[in-house]
Amino acid sequence: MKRTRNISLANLRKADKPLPLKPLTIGVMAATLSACGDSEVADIYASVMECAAENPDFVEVCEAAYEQALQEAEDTSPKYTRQGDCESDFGTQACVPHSSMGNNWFMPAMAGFMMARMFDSDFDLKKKRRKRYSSPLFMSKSRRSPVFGNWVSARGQSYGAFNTKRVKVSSKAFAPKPKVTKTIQRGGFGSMASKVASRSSWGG
Amino acid sequence: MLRLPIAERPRWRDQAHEYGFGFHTMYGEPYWDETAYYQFSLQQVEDHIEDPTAELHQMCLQVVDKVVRDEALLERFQIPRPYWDLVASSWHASEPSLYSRLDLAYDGHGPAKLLENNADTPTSLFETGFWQWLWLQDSVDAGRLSRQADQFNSLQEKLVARLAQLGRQRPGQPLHFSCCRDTEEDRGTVQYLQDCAQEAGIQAPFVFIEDLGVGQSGAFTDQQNQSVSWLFKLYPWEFMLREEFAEHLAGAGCRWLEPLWKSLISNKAILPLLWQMFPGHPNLLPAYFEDQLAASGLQHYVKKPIFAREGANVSIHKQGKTLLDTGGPYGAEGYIYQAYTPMPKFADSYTLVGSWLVDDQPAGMSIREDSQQVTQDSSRFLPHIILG
Repeated sequence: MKRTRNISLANLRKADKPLPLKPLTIGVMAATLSACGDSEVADIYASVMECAAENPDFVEVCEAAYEQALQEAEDTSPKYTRQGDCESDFGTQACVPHSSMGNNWFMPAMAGFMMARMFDSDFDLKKKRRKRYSSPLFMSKSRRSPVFGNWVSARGQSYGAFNTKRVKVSSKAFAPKPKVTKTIQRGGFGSMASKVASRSSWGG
Repeated sequence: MLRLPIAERPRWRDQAHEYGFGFHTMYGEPYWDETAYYQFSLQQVEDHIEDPTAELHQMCLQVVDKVVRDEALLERFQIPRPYWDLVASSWHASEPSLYSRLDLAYDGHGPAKLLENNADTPTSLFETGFWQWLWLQDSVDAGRLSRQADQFNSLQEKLVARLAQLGRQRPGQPLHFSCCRDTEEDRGTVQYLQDCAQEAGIQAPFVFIEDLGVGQSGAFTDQQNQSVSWLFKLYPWEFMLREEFAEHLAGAGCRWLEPLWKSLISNKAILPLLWQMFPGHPNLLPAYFEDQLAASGLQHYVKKPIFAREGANVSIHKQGKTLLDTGGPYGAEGYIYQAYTPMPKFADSYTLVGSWLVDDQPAGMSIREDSQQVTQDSSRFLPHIILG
């Protein structure tokens, strides 16, 4: 056979999801792993209290994990110039203003955090060896979002529905994503195209 | 190779809507045409299209390897001097490529002749990889075509596999996709590639190429101010390198699909170079630069601008007379001259075979028809099958 064996038609169907002309921030991607390998188990908590209730001997670890996630959320969450764009991805009242380096943005409020599970006898040792063991999570309350009701990372990866408590993740899940930078110049490419003529394609 | 009439699928326009294929009719004219199809034998496909495609691609890579080491040739290829090093380093670093499409003149009786190589921004990808595949599936299911009918078209399968392979080299990293604003056809092509990337397990956000920004670190940013470190663009390098924004390329540390060295293959200047390095090759037409034309003795030739889009500014000359001139805004960078070969004619149309590669693997075929000898974006896309 000289043709593609199988194509999943559902993946290509666009009828109920109109072609997005607006840049999509959130990609739907299952981040959980089913196979073994370079993975570890992580717990999802909506708050420090929830974490502390489940791990009464490690309250201070919960607090530190929360702080670490909160800091990372500031640095790496998706940033929007318009509140409406943020809300269309994350839902009304799910976004907060955020100022940094002279930019005024809107970002989704952190809805919870994911903490690597390592509560065993040598926890302190592990913690010392390892700088990052928690990561911020967001949740979309927008029915228009492909990740409505799901925990998503700052990378836009989905970790399952809101009631997910424990996930198996790649150990890379705790690596911080590149920091959102201040954009000093906007303009991009495309100036030649605007000089020639308007058309439906620049390919060939 | 036959052109055969067939009944249209009754619901295909609804289906096109369902799959987001909005540009099946353009400028009021049909672009996707399934009132007929082309039939090839397996031997025609394998011996006349597939094998020569793999070989032509390898020959083009040899040209690239020569040009990046030769300043006089980079000049000939009209690469702006400030970017010579970037083009060369993209080649020496073996930056991976995704896909290409060779345009071939082929009438069923080999050898196919290379007209040009769309190695940088090939379009009609969705129509080839998915839409004509679906047409075959539906037509076989409806009993209009034999169950034995196959198609030279593993494009989607190979694209997904290639993207998955590239994704493993950059774990966890999103691949941004971009094209120009207000280009429905390009947006559709890019959306298809985003779908393929997602199937390959890669996050695939979109940014219009006009909306790219530069961050404090020098890296490119998208509309959400996220850094863009790996970017697919459906916008030609030959334009980009002539735009102001290109001054940020060196400092941005961005990996590109297609990589910069592809700008030497999608360049018409590769045609005289191929003829120079592989003279008399059965799949090549004699081709020359302007200063070589007189000595070549070529009397009947096609004059093509070094850079142009979709058949613009192409003219056909015979013994000093101009037989056809498509006109257009290009040509400032000079022209090349390629020996004339008659375009195969089926029914009342001239037929062009597009032969696809994913990286260096032949991956499928697309057929376009036009009412004139130079295929333009007014051409029609027809499906094909392999039978016998």
